[in-house]
Amino acid sequence: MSSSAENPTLTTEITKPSTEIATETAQSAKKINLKTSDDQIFEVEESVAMEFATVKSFFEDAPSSTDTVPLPNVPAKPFSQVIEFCKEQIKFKANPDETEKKKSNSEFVKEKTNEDLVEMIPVANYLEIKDLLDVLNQAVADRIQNRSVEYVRSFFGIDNDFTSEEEALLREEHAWAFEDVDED
Amino acid sequence: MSFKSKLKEIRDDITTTFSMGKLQRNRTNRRGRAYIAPELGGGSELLSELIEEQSPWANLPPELLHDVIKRVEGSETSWPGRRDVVACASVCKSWREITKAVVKTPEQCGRITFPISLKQPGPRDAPIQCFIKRERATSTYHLYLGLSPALSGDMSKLLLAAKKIRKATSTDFRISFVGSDFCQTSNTYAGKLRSNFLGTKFTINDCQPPCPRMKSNCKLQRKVRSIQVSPGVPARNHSVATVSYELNVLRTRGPRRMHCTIHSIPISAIQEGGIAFTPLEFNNPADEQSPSLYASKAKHPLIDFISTSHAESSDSICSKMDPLVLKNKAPRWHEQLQCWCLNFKGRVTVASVKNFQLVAAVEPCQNVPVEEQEKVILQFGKIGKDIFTMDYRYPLSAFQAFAICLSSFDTKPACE
Repeated sequence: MSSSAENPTLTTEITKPSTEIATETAQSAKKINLKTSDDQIFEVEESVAMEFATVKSFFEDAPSSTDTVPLPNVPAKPFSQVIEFCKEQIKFKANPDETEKKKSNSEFVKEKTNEDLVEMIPVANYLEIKDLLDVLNQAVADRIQNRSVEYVRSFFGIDNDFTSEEEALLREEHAWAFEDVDED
Repeated sequence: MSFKSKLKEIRDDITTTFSMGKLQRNRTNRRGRAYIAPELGGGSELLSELIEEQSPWANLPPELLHDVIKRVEGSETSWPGRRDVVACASVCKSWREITKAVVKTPEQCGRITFPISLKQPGPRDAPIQCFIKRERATSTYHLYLGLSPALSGDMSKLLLAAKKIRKATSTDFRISFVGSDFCQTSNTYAGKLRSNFLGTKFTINDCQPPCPRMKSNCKLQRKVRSIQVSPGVPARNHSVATVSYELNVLRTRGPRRMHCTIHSIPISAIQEGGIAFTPLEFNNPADEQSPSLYASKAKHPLIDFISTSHAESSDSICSKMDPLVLKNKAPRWHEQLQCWCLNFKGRVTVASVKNFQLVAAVEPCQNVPVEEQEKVILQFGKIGKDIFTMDYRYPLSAFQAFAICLSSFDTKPACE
């Protein structure tokens, strides 16, 4: 658990509104407080928070609420990255440019470590951010391509739970699939 | 309870807690900030325990994993990239389950993914195009997925290999999933083609038993019974088809005539709305008789029809359980070239006695649509020295098609 003393720095850092957003959403520059599972409070632009379907539905129930919304499944670290992504997305909403959007998305995942992806996917899923989930799932799919089974297991931290009999059958399947392709 | 369902329960639990929080919050809304925070008790504690035990990825809901694997599958449509899909299926049990659900059969998607794909029927319309390389020195034959060695290059994939083994009274072609092991007891053994002394009659044996309901078919009854009385010996040879070449006693010049009777495929497979049996997994010799390994996806009336005796099945000439019979498409005599010709649509370039096209041989009473009767189910022919193409289609599998083509390689002094 991070101490509450850290919170102000983090909050100001991630909610520093970019100028474009500030002008575009000047009339609705309402801030929403979101509380992560590790008790950090994020102050987020309403337009960004509305990207999270889960939060949006929360406010549909109570439109005039000014309360802090608890996000019991969301730790702070991946959440700040998720906010970063949604801020970028909003720019493209006002000014749709598919190629730029793709470029920005691929840059976003490129600099993320495997661990970042690991942590962000459940968050994106919980907050129901479809665009982000798409980008993340594709990134994972890309990262496990051309990799060995062992790599995929260690990437995901999955234990091999096959019995030795099943293993034997898998080895044959593997031998067939990975048999060297005749060159000539 | 499986881990997955446990997880789902926990997730549901959390969602309920959360929405309950919402409800409670609504109720207390008027009193300002006094809403009740969602209770994070049991659910999330258990969840973090599980996360510690497994890994954050194990926490990934199955539908997300499904999405990831689907993306891998969708982007790797050709070999050798498709091996990534096989890798996904080897990670752990839940990955295998999801990958198996994502990957479609060759009949549905026209692609080969797992070794079991080679025992599943090919696509109904566009054939799967393969080529066979013959190595005379070692008497081996290699079946590759691809148009030709020149066109496919590195993209070609070794599907099956066969080795010719001469015996005193017969010849065996042992078919294996790999090119290095032709032992009948090995896990890579797929089946064999056995010829009689003259090389005019062949039997195709599959290491897999045919469709369970076909087992009661007369042709297989004896075989199955003999297997049952010898427990301990794994039953690895199930007769699934016979190929016979017509004797050419008068030595008149003309194309070879062959008949393939596929006992494991009923004629109903090519009737309107018909389906061919599709094995989904290789069966473990230990649970040979287990029907659970098979998809009884047949919702066809034929499932009710189980022939119990030889007499009964030979009585009903037009029954749906009649085996599929394939015959040569008749070539036409080309006056100018003074030879027999068939239109191979560019896939066969060298004249050879081995070239053939097979179509279904049907009786009028069997009710097979005309377009089905005209479709070439298997085509085989020479494109170069020791290189042949093999294009197969539903309802044949790659294994059956390869075995039929191998019969063409065996020398047949009596037929020519």
